Formats: sequence, structure tokens, C-alpha cells
Amino acid sequence: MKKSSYEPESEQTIQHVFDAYIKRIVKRKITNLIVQIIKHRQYFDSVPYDDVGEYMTLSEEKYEITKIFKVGAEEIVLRDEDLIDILLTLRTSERNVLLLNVCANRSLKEITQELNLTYETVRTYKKRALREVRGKMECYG
Amino acid sequence: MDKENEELLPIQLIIDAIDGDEKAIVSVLENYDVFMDKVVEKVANNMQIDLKLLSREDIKQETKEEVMKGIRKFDIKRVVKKDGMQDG
Repeated sequence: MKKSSYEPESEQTIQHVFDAYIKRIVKRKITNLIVQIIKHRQYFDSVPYDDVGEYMTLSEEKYEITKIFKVGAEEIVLRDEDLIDILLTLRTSERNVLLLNVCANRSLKEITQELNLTYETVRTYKKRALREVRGKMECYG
Repeated sequence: MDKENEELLPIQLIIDAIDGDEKAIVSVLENYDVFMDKVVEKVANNMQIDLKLLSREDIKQETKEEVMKGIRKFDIKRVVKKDGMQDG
């Protein structure tokens, strides 16, 4: 067995990214397989043809992954599993600024009042959060 | 090492698996076996499917094939480069 030539910090990053990567593959594959099984079962259970399509849609929607982020009085619903995972790794303050700005269409000035932060802080949080999200999206492919 | 990191695979095992070492790949799959079980259960529960109606072994087998393909695509250099860029 060869010896790892990576720095300890890099080793830890590789371990974390690899773990998330494999878990993502497993989750997606299993979800797809079970959805397929449901579709087939519905078909063979002799559900009237017209109803089959509707039932499949309902079944898939039932498992749709959603996450509601509460930021102040705002409730922001996201459905992209990758994005949700990445956003959950951000610091709460940075994530809140990004969500309000990008998803709730608040200007940076409005966010300063809503979160009681200075303009410069809000700008920095948004910049950091965006950099993190972009970086992680590239990593996860 | 904190508790969270103890659950991660040893770095050398990851490197060997990515290099195509079959023993290492099998070991990775074995490590994720419990996780697969949990996901099957969770997804089935969310969809209100009786687990008895599913062939869990078939699902796990197909999932393992997908993971094996995935391991070969994992770009370790890109992760290290990204990590380095973030530090700098």
C-alpha cells in the first residue's frame, strides 16, 4: 500500500468531500430505484390507465426534497438537494444574507435593516457565501 | 480526531479505491452498506412503501454498481486544488 502524499488539511478535505460524494450517489440511486419500483407496482396493480400518470406524479412529489429556510419573517423554500446541502455548510449569517438577497430579492441596504448589520458586513457576507457556494458546486461537480 | 472525523474513511483507502484497487473499492462499499440500508428505509418510509415489498438486496446491489462507477470518476486533484485555493 502506498503512503498518502497529501497534507493533513487536504487529507481531511478529501475525506469529507469523498464521503459527501458517495452518500449523494447512494441517495440518488436509491430514490430513483424506489420511484421506478412504485411506477411498476402501480402499473401492475391494474390502476385505471388514466389514473396511473397522476399517481406517479404524486408519488414522486411526495419524496421531493425540500428545505424551508427561515430568515427573519421570510420563509424561503428550496428544492435543489445539492444547493440545500451546500447552503447548510455555510455560516448562518452568511447564508441568511445570501438567501435574502438572491431568493427574496432584497437589496443589500434592505438586508442591513432586516438583520441589523452594517452595509459593509452584509456585502462581505454575501461575497463570502457566494464564493463558498461556487467553490463547493465545482467540487461536487 | 473528533467524533465526526472518526466516521470518515481512512485517506489511504480512498486513494487506493480511486486508483482502482478492487479490495479498497469493496471495503468502501462495505463501509457504506449501513448507510445504504438507512437510505432505503428512509426513502421507503417517506413514500409510504412497505419495506417487505422491496427487494432490498436488489436495490443495494444496483446502488453498489453506481457507487463503483462513481469512485472511478472522483477527481481527488480537483478537491486538493480547491482546498488549496480556499486557504490562499
